[in-house]
Amino acid sequence: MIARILVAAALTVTAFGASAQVKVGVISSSTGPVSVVGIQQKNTVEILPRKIGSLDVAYVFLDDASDPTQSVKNVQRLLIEDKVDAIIGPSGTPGAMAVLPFIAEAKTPLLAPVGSTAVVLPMDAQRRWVFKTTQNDDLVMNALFGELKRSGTKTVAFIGTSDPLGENFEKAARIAAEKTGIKIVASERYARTDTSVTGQALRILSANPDAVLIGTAGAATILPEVTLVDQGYRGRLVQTHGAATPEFLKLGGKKVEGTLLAASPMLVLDELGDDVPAKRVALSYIGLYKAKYGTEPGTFGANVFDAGLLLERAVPIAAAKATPGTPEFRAALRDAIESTRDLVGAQGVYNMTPEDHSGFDARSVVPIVVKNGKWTLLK
Amino acid sequence: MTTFVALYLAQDGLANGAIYALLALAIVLVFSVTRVIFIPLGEFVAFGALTYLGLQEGTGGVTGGFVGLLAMACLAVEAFAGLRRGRPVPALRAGLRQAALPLGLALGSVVLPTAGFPLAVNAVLAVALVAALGPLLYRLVYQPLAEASVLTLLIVSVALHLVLVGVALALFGPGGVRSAPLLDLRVTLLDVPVTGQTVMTLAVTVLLIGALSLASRNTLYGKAMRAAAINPIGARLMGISAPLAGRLCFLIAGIVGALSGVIAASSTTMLYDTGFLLGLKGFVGAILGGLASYPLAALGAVLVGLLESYASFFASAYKEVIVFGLVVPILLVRTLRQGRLLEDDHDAAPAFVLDDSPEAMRRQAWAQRALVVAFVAGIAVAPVVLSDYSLAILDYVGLAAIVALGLVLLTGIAGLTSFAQAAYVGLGAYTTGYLSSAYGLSPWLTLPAVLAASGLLALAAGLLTARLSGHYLPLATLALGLVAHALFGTLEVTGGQSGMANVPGLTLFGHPLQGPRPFYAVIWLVVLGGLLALRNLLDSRPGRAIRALRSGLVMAESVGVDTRAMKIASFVVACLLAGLAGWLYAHFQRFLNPSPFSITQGINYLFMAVIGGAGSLVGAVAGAAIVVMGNQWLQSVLPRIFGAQGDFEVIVFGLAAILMLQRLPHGIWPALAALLRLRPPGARPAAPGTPALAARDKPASGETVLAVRGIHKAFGALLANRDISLDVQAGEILALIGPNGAGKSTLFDIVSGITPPTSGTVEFRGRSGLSLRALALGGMGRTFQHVRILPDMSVLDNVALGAHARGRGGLVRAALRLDRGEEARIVAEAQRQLDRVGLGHLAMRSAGSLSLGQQRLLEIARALASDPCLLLLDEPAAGLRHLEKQALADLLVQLRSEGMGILLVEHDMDFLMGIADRVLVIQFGVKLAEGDPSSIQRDPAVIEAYLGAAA
Repeated sequence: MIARILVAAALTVTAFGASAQVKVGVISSSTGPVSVVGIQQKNTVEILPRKIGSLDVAYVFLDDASDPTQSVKNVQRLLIEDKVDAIIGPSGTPGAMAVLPFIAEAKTPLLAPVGSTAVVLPMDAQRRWVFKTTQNDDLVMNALFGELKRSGTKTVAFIGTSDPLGENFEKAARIAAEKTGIKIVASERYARTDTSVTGQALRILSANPDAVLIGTAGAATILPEVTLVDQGYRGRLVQTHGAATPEFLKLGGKKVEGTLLAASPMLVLDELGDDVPAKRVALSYIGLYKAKYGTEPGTFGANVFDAGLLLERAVPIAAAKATPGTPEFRAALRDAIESTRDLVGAQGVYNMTPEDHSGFDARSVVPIVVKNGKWTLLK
Repeated sequence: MTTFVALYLAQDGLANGAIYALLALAIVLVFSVTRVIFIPLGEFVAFGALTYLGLQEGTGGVTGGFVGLLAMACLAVEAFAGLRRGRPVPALRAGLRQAALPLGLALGSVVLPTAGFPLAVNAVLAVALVAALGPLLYRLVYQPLAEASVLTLLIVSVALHLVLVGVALALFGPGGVRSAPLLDLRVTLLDVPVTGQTVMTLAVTVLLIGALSLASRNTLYGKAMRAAAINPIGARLMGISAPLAGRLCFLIAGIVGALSGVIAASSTTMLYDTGFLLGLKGFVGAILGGLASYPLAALGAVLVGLLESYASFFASAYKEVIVFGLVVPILLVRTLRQGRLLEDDHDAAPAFVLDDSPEAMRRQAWAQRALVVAFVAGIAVAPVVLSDYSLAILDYVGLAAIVALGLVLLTGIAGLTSFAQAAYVGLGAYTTGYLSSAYGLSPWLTLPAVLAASGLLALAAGLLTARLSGHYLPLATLALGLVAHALFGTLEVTGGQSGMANVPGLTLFGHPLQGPRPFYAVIWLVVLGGLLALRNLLDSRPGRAIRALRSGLVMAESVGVDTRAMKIASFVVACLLAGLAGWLYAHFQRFLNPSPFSITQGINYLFMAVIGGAGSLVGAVAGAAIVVMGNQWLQSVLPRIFGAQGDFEVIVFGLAAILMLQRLPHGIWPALAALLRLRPPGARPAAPGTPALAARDKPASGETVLAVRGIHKAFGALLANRDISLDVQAGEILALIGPNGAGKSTLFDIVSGITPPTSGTVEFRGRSGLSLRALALGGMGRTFQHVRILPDMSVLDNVALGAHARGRGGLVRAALRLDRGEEARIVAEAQRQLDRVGLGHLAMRSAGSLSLGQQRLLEIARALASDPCLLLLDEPAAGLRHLEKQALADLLVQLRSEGMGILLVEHDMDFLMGIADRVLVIQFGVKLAEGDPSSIQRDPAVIEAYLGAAA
């Protein structure tokens, strides 16, 4: 009985929505382990375009609590209940991988702000519907391992969190290591909320690697690095773009000085020449975000901002062919996104083809070092 | 591994273990005083750390605001309670006393320029501010639930944990904090660098443990709390109220938690949700120490820290598996050393009061039928009227309900708390996911494999854990759940953290069963099937035995129930249901990753069962519906109220759960059922003319059935029985008398196999050394001095339980209703015995609603239903009125004439003298006199013993 009443109530609350508008679902991880990524993304939704051409755009936001299963539930809801025209999200690769079959069945475009190329490669009937708006993990790893190789590094130890994030970074690192002939001599795991990684750090020290790569995101990136420094590790410390948050510099302080990472040029805008096309868009995004929230966004929010730019360009094209809310519109929208050429986003320039839905090229990742407590372009 | 590494790891393990030890102490303290398993302690750690940092940055006011809010709420609650009692002024004063200091601290945190204060000052401020939350939360959350069961309190703790995590995220954000160390010092000890931090952590822990131990022994407040823990009524008589003791121990827990947070923040990164894992490890340590002793709990916690440290060196990916996997053998060793405990916590469910006149019973049956029809019709109509999305939600409700149904049987009815059900769902899901995607097997073919896997693993776990008693069993399932989840996330076959995508969907005769609509039918058919099968089970011979487990094992064993087998059976049934749900889930979701099978989800299933009503099957469905739909609904409604900022779902949901359990501590469905006058499942009166159960061969009159020889029983230095011998013959009543404390009850427990004698033998029908259950099976029936009945079951069911050993029907036959012939004979026998003791007209009342005298008669009827040849009656006439005593005396004489041997303990001499053939008097554990009643009455030694005892 109660069940039915609740369902009825849920329906009345969610079912309203005018049809003369474009509906976009957004899923991000604003709670849980990926929340460092997800909260910026959630905040960015508020500054996405509310109007594209003559069409109103409505956004339906859902949090997946960093849980791929919740991503699937959310996608089902957006597809069945809200009948969205496109989805931006989820924040994490496993979530995106999990929703693939549902996206393809519903023939709805997905703009995935995730790192792993696995969501768009190999191109097949399911992945036709997916577009990626983040630097590929392998771009990041290639940049890192390229730099390591250049500086003569032979051995690397990996330490990452025991969650999807850490696991993905390890996979990507192994591939990049193989390509560059660098050996991974230790691979350790820790939980995001662990308060000590002494054992893992000792293990790494005993393997004596030239560099240590830390694969996770947000505040959890700091503990292994600081522990290693405290134990007297003298090799090179390497982070992914997961560390590209203000907290990293603030909490790490002097101990993270000299850390190498590879991330979006957005981190070092001041050092970029005006000839870099993304600079203008990035500045405008940062301006919008700062005006609304008072703080600067990290690079993860920009992935969602760029998804908005892709839609802003594609929606009018699709609207010329079909009415929003119809399968025809969703198909036309997909085709329009696939035809994107030279679109300048906050982190790079998008060029989509039927074979390549990942958009960015190597220019979207730059090597960065921490110098005097600031991100500095490695030259 | 070098010595250097070993020492370094030991140092790390000790430092972490010290923090766990602090938390373990607080958990033991809170549990022993209030019976609350204080899961939110971890949040105190997080609040402590984040507030400490907040004060350093001048933003400590956010915690202050929260403390202030709670203080105001506390004031309001006290004032409201005072108004209702008509005495607002003292209530307001009491409220002010509780709220004043927190309000002051809160104000201080807002106005003081804390950013410029020294670290130590801010540390003290942070601890004070966060610790103030302890008593406030006790007042608001736990004090109204002082009478609730341990399980309900646990679930409330879970809800509070959710609320506080949500609040922490809202107040402090997802970023982490680290503080400069309080003590900047580095020394080298045996070549290992030791930081001031480690030294301080260890010192604080040792100091606090010492202080707590001393305080609990030597201070007035400490004694008060111990008194409240051991004997609440006595403590109240001495002027120590339970609320005071509760607030005090929550204050100490708050201090310990916040202090741990401050210490931890100086050496590591603290996040808003770091606390849970820390608290969990403290909890494991506390239970390893038996949840009772401070030093043992601290030792257990340090052990956890050390295990963790070495495991993270040797195999960091398997750290959780190693740490929690080792918990189970440790528990087993502890239990084995304890020996087998027969006693468990009593957890009485409420007795029902229902009209039992024939017309009323007919009305109740009709109401029941109407509701069942409405329920099934509602389920059948839903796909017609609801959207796909609503059906998808109902699918999730159904999936959760299947798991919760198993938990109702296991936890609500058998009284065995399991945190591991989500792991069994995962086992089922991954088994079918792997078989169907790696080998392309049809899901229908993998179903038997899934059931076999979850059944066998449940059997294995059951065999291991059924020996565990008390708090060890829930901890073992907790460990099992943690290990399973960690394995799902590390193994290659499960796809690790990324999971397993593209699990095939179900097909039926070539038609794909995909999407929420077709699956709805499959899921809800399983739910209905499960409901029906379990309902049938509860109303049957094995069902009654399972229901008897919760009220302690002695009574169940005394009617011949194999309690260990019944525990394992309920574990297996619950896990089969969980595995089945996992199979359905895998093919519905078609994607698997570890998170839906985490310990959090395991707790969530318990949550559903308790909210719905842990003792009732329909409660499982109600609870699943409330939790799943409630969350979904909040997620769509709250953003409209609070805007897109913040994540209020968990906070609102947790608060709602706490408020609901404060109103309805037994859950929603039992309250509704009482309102609707629904009868819980149970036996209906048997049809007249039902054939009788087979009776055993009885010993001939005059044959010795019981021969007790030279019993000694020592409890430490106290000798309870010394060299006692006695005989009981068939067709004879032997009375055992003696002043209070003479050792009668001990002797009774030895004779009936509950307690082993230190020396001497008990021979029953020629066999000696028999267990309680073996004696029961051999024909010894007994009653108890403190009645042991199942108050929430009908009188008829209680007595039918007595005939347990005379039937054979098992769980499967019961679930499929193939046991009705035998069941009718059992029920008819129960009715016959009820008629015999004069309670026939009360058969359909709940046993808990009878008067004490009637409950004693019920116990006699239950013993008689087992067709005994020897009856042990412990003070059967106590609480009976004169006429009832007369009737009982007549019954006993009648039984004697049928050849029954009767041994009874009684204080009522008039009652005894009329019926006893012989009387045995014991005093100070020694036989004083033996003889016929009249010679005993004249025996000078006996007279002196009684008069002496009286004087």
